Amino acid sequence: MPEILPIGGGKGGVGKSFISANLGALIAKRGKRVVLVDLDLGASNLHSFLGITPHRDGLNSFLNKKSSCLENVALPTDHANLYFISSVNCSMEIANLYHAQKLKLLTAIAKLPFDYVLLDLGAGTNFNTLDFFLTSNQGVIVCTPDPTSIENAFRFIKAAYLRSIKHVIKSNGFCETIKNAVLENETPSMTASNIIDMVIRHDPAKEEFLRERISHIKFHFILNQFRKNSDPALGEKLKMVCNRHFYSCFEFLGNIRFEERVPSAIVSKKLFIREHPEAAAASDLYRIAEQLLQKLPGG
Amino acid sequence: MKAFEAQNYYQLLKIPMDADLITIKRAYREALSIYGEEALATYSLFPEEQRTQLLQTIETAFHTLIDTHRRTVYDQMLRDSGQVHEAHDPMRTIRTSDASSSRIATCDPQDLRSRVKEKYSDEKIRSMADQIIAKDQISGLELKCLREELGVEISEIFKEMRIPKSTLNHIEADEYASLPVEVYLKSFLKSYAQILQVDSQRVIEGYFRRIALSDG
Repeated sequence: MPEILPIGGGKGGVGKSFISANLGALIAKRGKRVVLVDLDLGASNLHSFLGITPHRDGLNSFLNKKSSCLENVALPTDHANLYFISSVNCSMEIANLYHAQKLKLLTAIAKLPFDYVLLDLGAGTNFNTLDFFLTSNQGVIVCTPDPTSIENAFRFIKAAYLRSIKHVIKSNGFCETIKNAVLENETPSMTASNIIDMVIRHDPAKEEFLRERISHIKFHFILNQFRKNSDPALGEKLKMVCNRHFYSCFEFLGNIRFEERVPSAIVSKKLFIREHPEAAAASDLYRIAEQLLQKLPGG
Repeated sequence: MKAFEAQNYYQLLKIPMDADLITIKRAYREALSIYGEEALATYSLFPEEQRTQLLQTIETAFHTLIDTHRRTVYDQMLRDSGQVHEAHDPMRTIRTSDASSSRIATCDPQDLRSRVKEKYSDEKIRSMADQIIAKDQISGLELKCLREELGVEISEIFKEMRIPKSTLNHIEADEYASLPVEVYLKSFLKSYAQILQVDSQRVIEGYFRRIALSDG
């Protein structure tokens, strides 16, 4: 069973694919077998960060049953131990993945014969993205020190949090009142704390169980595009605030300093850390990869 | 989302009950930099109404604790309502009002203190502690060894001092990047040292020196 590491964060353009590609390469360099999966369905560009143009089949061949095994559509990269499953050749309608396809994909991901599977997720908080994120309890949230990015990151965390609470309630014999309220009426304004309050009122015995389950979800923050005038304590503050106000567990992995040469590395089809190993951002990525490997069970 | 309801003013500002004025002011500024209206760290996290409430609570906490008279009254209230143990107790403890943790059998702080004291009658443990404290740099691993030698559990420190278990683990694992900001770390190390009954000033200095030298 691989260690699955979803990389999400709500906002687009904050560097999820950049971080996935480079972290993947750094982990592979440590001798671990790594596969990157581009799950930004309908807006894939992980291949660009890797400097690959995937002509061959990718996720599409698996989803349309041409290839029976997800492993077979993983392309080698020019980095040892690093493989890549692209979604760039998927149909134009791939963003609206069917439920059954999603389940098939999640099951196949969990069985990939690699040490690490990095899932590069899309922006937004649609159910597919949230479920990809929640397929592991150790996701990474990428954001930048900008209000809009932080707003979207909080939104993403709240949405993921709410969805996992709903999953727990759905499958663990909670009393009917709660199930109905949470699952069937789908009150749009229902928040995680409403649900917890409701559990306290109607099924107090389950409250601790619910809290215990959501306390297992771990979020790792990375602050990307960190600039000289950004608050150096921001990451720690985010971590502190989230640990205080959510029941899940939050860690801060570090800042990645802003780097203006990222686009030019893409154009020259080179992975950033390989092209600019001396860059400040490269050493930040290296440090974060080390930290992650220490924290993950498979490290 | 959890609010501040279950926390007393000290927990809210993340300071020990014997915090001095400078510590209180620093903690207050820190809280404002996190919960203030222009703070990036909580941008859009709370509905406006809730943020106003949180800020009001922080204000009240600050103004109560910097006023000697109001603080005395407040501390008395905490003790009378059983939220904390006796005053002037070197190990002043904040008893949790959280139902889930009170269900776990809590051990008496007096008990823990005398247990640690008794352990120190063992010459080997005594000299181990002395050696660690005498060092220029002190690592989390050394502190951990001492704690284990003294038979103190992480969960006991958590119960006594309300230091998050994950933070304790980071401190002991020397995971410096995951440690809280300086002011919290200092107060945590101080509490930690108090439990192990070693010189807290030396522990703080030694630990910070080691962090500084590990950098770069």
